[in-house]
Amino acid sequence: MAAVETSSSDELRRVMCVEDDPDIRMILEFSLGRLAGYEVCLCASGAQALEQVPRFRPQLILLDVMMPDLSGPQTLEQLRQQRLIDGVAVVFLTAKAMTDELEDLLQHGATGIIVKPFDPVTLGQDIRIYWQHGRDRPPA
Amino acid sequence: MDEARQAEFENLRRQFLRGLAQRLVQLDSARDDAGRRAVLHRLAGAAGGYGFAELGQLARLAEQALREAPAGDPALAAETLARLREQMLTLAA
Repeated sequence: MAAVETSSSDELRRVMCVEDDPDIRMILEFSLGRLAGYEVCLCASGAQALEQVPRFRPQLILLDVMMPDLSGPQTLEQLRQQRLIDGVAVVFLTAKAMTDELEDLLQHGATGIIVKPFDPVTLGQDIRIYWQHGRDRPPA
Repeated sequence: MDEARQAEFENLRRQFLRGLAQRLVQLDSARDDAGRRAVLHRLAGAAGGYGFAELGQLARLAEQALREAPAGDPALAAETLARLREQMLTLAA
């Protein structure tokens, strides 16, 4: 399968959020769409993300770790295997806060981790920093 | 946050609070501790984002107490869950 063309824009505009909890999806849309002004695609599962990525062409994916069926790390692995996210920054969203668990998550090759609960006012800026960091980093 | 966005946020907070009753049902109808922990995990992740830090913290403590209950203190898990339920009912009222 051919790699999906990714944007070379200097601005972060398209953000995909993959999160199974509807209340968290709602606050993500408010934070990143209404407050930060990104174009946001909300997915309720890893399977939905796999389906939506080629159409939406996200520049950054915010990916919940603990989800039923496909977990965040499993979703990331499948996105990689299918060459769907070349050049896309992936940030895990997790309620886990233990240092060893966070380090384990980074081993999956994510650009960064945001620990829940997050501040809806500053989340847009936080992910922009990760996106810039991801662009500066050579591909894995 | 400007006034219009603040009003939107307040609406979302009210919607979140209305959903607490459903989360209580999910908590009480979970088949086992793993199911209860999943409900608590989602609540812990969501509550703080809506500005309910204490609720989120209680949910996290309850999740942790349930995880450790077999080897730890089952009474602590029950007590934390009872406190959480009380807080959820108060906020949802």
